[in-house]
Amino acid sequence: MNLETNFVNPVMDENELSLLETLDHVLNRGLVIAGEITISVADIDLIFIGLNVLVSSVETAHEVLRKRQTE
Amino acid sequence: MKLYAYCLADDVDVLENSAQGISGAPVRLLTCEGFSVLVSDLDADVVQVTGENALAHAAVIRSILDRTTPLPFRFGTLVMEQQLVNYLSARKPALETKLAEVRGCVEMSVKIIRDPVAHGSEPAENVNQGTGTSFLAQKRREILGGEQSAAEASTISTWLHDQISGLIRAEQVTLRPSEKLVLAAAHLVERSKIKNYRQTMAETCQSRPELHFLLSGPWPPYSFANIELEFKTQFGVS
Repeated sequence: MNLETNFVNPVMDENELSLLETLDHVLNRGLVIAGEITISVADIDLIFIGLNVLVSSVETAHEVLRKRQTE
Repeated sequence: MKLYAYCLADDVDVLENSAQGISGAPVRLLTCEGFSVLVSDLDADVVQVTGENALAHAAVIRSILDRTTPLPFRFGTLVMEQQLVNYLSARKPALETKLAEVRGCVEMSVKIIRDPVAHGSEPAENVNQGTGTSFLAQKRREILGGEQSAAEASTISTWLHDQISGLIRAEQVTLRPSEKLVLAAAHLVERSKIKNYRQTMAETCQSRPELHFLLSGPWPPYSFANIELEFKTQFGVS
């Protein structure tokens, strides 16, 4: 079975969307080893960047779409 | 030298054409307790959060997604080999249960964003109001708006669930009743139902033009991989 990931968004660049969605998945989710072992990330605040950037980017994309539709 | 852990499976014996790991390191299998963990060596104490590293992490996990459904570790999981072995041994029953829950499935992601234009804007302030009155009026708008947004997000979540409940094995929904993002949902979908799921979601999107949908997938089950932490039960934390 070939599992090609699809990104459904009308105007956003797929590569950019792919990176942002990947960041959202790998930084915010996944199996966490508890106890004496900790997640070793250089700057923990960056974990929350992915989703915020994603929302901003999607909003920008829809703004472009709205302008195209009104032109 | 530490090990960077990517994901865990119970039915992978050999790596075929695995992607390069963090810092270009070769990925190998570490087998223990009936599990296979994809790892690479990393001579560092922390992992830099960069697009390159995040994509490398994701690519390694994706490299076996066609063959099985692994449990992905969160980005930045850096351990000594003995610590990883201890973890697999101590959490073996919970990990086996979690692998059984996701077997044969993939994760599909849905984000719903409210159209700020259709949603309307804040009412204009009364210029005759004093500073204190304006402050309290603003606070009131924030509270009422927050309650309204939360109720709306909950309604949309229920509606979305009703549309696809027959096509998913599990779901994780995070309501985000902010001005922009309404909710983020992850759906655990059996591979044989992906086509039907996509078709249904396409129809669902068209039925609510006032909402914007961001759909992506299939992903490894990032949102369904974590196991309950024992300290919750040991220390009475709920």
